[in-house]
Amino acid sequence: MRVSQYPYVAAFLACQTLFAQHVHPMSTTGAGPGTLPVMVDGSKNPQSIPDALAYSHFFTAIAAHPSPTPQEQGRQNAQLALLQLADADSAALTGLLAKFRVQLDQIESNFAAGTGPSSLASLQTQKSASVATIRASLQQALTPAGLNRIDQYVQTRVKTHIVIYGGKM
Amino acid sequence: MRHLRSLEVMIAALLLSAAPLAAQCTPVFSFSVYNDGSVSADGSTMYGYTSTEDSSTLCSCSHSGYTAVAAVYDPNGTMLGESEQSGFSSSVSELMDGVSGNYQSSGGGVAFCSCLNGYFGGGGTIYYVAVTCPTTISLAGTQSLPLANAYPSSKTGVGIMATMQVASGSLNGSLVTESLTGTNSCPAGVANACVGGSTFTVGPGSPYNGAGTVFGTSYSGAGNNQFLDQHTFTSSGDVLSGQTSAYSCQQTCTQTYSACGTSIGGFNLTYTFTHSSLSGTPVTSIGVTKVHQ
Repeated sequence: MRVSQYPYVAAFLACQTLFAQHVHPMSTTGAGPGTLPVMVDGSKNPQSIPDALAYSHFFTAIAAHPSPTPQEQGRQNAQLALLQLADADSAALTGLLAKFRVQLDQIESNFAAGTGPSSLASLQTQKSASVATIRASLQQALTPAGLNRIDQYVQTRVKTHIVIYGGKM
Repeated sequence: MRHLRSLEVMIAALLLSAAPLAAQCTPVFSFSVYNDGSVSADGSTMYGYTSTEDSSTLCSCSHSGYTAVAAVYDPNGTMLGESEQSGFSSSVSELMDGVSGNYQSSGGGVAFCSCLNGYFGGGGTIYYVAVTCPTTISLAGTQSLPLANAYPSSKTGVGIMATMQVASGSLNGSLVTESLTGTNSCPAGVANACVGGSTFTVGPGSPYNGAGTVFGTSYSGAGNNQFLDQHTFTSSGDVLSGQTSAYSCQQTCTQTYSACGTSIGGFNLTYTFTHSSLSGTPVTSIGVTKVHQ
């Protein structure tokens, strides 16, 4: 039996497994010990998820390295299939996302090396800028139909799979 | 008067002391988690992926030690696999077991907060990924694609359009893959027809399943729980040129269909190449038979 390296992760996964024993017609939100309160549940209020945040999650989840591992390539192919893009649009998207992945690795590496509040603020700023750049590049590289498919996917699928947690520390 | 002046001084002092309080930074958590799942084109592998973002207002606090987790479950709720990765994203891939149903994806993230002196995080929402897995397959019908309709663009060809039927249940949208192996008794230089490895999507609304025309012959579209599989071979030249009239040779293929990583049926394909003529021009006509094993 595998034991989680992170006690907190193990706690909320254990909680989640309890939920997984039942069949629900919709998503269910587990609340493990120490889990922050839910501020916005995208499955209920997708309009309350900011576009910039949704695109940031989407790019982070779907991006693969310029020379991806078979697992990484397989994961991205499965994700791209959901978008049903034309071949040229799909190639343009994966090319831009490969650049994003490289930038993200660098940003996160810099963050890991730093400490303190300014380090996280710098991470947020740099990542937001990188996401904005990729979005602008997509406008130039993809067909209107391709852009529309991606935006529809982000608005209707990605946002409904995001939960924002929060509260005072 | 003296008391009033003292009160004014006290109020002013309070206002002055309140100003720094109002400007004080209040640390607030804002941590978002995205999770989703998807299935590989051949229906054999399920992927789960998680990304997290920390947009908290930290003030003098610091956050560190980020970990993201992604997990996938089968329709019974049994965990197929999970992956914990340091940083802000994680993904997991696991082979599926050929069972139809609502597969599940979940994930979350945690990090250490210096002000809490402990971990915080979020996640655990379960999202469903509907997967339908055909378990049997049969040949619903075939339509011949004669060389005469493709001539003179092609002087070798063509074959059949097969309509395949999967069961059981409502399976439109399901994915079926094929693998092919074969033998070739034709002369050297005649390419092997037993090649390829397509992925088919079941149902009339899926690409390539509509009615159309191929190599000059019109064909019907697929119905519910059906897909079209084209078995053809063409060349602009006569691949059996140099052979006597009526010479024939065969290529045989074993075709195996799979869904959700499990074999659902096998067929024997036979391509018969016959040297003949059309309008006095030497050609190679090809007939194809397809039989369930």
